[in-house]
Amino acid sequence: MNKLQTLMETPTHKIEVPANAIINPKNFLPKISTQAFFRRLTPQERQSLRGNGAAIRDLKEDLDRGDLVELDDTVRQSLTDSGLFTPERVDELMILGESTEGKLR
Amino acid sequence: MSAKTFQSLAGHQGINKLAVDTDYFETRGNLAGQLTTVAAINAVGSLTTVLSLTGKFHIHQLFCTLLSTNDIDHWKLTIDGVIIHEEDGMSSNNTGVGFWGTQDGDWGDHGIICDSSFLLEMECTADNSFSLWYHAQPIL
Repeated sequence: MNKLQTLMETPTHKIEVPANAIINPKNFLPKISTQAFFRRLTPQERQSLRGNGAAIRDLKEDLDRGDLVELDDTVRQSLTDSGLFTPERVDELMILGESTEGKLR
Repeated sequence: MSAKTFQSLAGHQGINKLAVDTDYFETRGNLAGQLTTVAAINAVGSLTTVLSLTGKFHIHQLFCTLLSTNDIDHWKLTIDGVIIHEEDGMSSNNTGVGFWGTQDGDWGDHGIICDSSFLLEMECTADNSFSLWYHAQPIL
């Protein structure tokens, strides 16, 4: 088996390419709309997010502008640093698909 | 445009939703900017994993560039554990070999969905630094 490097790994998804390959990360990760992001939050998470605007100011500004939220390291870090989300929960929130959203609706 | 889900647009509750809302497509008129490039792949002499996906994905585009003329010795595509294509040789050139989708990034191509895994393996004669371009969208 050839060695591989992992580009993305969540509890449900994984992408691997040859270990020595050079990756252009531009737009590698999916973006999610702010509306969809908020819909996926539990009521408790939504409330906590509103109450911690300072801790996740950058993200909040994006959200307020209605921009798409890109699942980059900055957003991940902001969400996890806020103490409101585990990295696994961030993955769950950002993945595109019906299950997560449906579960939280 | 308000965020209507594709699910509700389709009036169907069981379909896989490939975007969170219509804005996803509206802001991506040209898919080229969404492609990931994997460069400097060396697949000389042995069947080499070029792209491995685990989970459920919609793969819109998949093509290689920087290949010499007819340098692909062998290639194999396995989806959900089933070899759906395997052959010796494949015509190629340095401008691109499309498995599906095109370099111009047109949404017109529907791509393919894997349910649990996707594996593309290639073997080349001499090319030790070609590029793979793909767009794989995770879905649940």
